[in-house]
Parts: sequence; structure tokens; C-alpha cells
Amino acid sequence: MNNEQLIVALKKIVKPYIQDDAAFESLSEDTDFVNDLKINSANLVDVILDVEDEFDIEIDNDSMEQMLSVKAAMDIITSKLNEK
Amino acid sequence: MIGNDIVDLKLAQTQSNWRRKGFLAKICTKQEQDLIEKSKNPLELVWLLWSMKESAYKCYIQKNPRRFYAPRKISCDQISDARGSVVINKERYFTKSIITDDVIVTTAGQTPDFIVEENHFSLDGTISFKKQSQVVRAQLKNVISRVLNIPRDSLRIIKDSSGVPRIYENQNQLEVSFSMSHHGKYGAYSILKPKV
Repeated sequence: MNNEQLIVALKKIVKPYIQDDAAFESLSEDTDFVNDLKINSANLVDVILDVEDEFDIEIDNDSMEQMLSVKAAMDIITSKLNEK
Repeated sequence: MIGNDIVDLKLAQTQSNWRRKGFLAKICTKQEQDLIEKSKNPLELVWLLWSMKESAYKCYIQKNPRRFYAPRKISCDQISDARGSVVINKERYFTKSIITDDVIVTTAGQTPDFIVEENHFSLDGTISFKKQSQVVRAQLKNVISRVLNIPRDSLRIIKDSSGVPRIYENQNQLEVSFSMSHHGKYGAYSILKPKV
């Protein structure tokens, strides 16, 4: 899966939780889940669980700690997929 | 320093499914999960714990300005309806909570006896997230303007690089510790009162 496909997949996952439409429309690697998309911090757990389901990976606590942005999520997903 | 958090309990019920498989395991310690399992009011306890964790995190980040997302590493102990304590990386914070049928509001501070001016209020649930933030900021500015006798128009609230809001009178940062939160149809602010 290349970066573009990864962003498309992530965009679909975060869509139900975003609270800023403009930031969502212009979502890029630099987008922050909380500061930009205004995702409620409790819903960030749902994003992480959805990512686990979608990619069939397990996001351990240390990885979860970094999952605050699209870029971080992409790095974590890529590294977990490579471990498989 | 202080940190606060508000949970709109009605919205929380529809916005988050805390019974979702894996949800609690990602946000709660084993001890907290056991408490929730035994609780007569698990919904309230889940969101009380959450607001304790959030408010303590908002304190912690002011001292340790590097953001992270690890609700499970933020451990609540001494949990009661009104008071609790929370440990993050060996640093302890003390919390005070208000629980009503509609909201849970928690403020965390560094000592057990901190005193805050706290206010929570209804917000128009149909306006955008950003507009709601602006309403809460406006409320806070009104209070600070009144208490410190500073013209309201010279007050600015600006977030620093860790997302911590700071208040300025024109170019000068004021030494006021405060925190703001909003969720669903409710907003809240807390301002730390100096010790007499």
C-alpha cells in the first residue's frame, strides 16, 4: 500500500469523528487529529481501534502514544504491516 | 497550574461506545477496568475516570510540553464522586469533580487543597466546534477582565506549541492559571485562585 492509498484509507476511518470540515477536506500528512480535525480525545480510541480492524494489526501502547497525526498513523501502520 | 475537562453525558453515550471491544483496555488500567465492571453506574464511572485523566493530562502537559496519547498510562486512584488523585509518570495530581445528570466536570491541580473559580454552562449545540471554543474563551475573558480589572478588549488567549492556552494583556502574558473545556452542549472554565 503506497502513501496515497494509506491517506485515502485513513481519511475514511477518521471521517465519522472529525469536527472541522475544512481541515478534513484538506487532510494531508501534516494534519493533526486533535488540533486540526478536532477529534474528541475519547474518539481517538475509536480511530485506533478502527485502524486495527481495517489493517488487521495491533497497535501497542507505545505506538498509540504517538498517534496524534496522520503522519504518525501512517508510520505506525506501515511499520506494523511490514512486521507481518 | 490546573487542567479541566467537561463531559456531556448524553453526547458521550452516542459519541462513544465504551462497551466496544478493546475500548476500555486501551484507556483504563486493569484496576480501573475492575472498578467499572463492578460499578452500579458504569457509564458515569467511565466518564468520571476519563475526565480525571484528561484534566490531569492538561496539567502534566504544562510542565512536560510534549504531547502524547496514553490514557492507560494515566492512572486514577482514590476515586470518589467528588475527589480523586491521578498519577502520570510518577507525578501525582489531585482532582475535584462535579457530577450532575447532564455533565461531569473535573478540575485537576497539583495540591489536594487547590481552590478554583469554576463555572460550567450550556452552549448552543448547533454551532460549530470552533464557535463553541470562542464562546468559552469569551466567558473566561469576561471573568478575568472583571477580577483583574483589565479592559476586556486588551485580553487575548493564545495556545502555545503544546496546545496549552495562555492569556495575554496586549503583549504581556498574565500569570493566571486557567483551563477551558467544551463538549456537546456544555462548556466550562476553571481559574486557579491564589493561596491566601
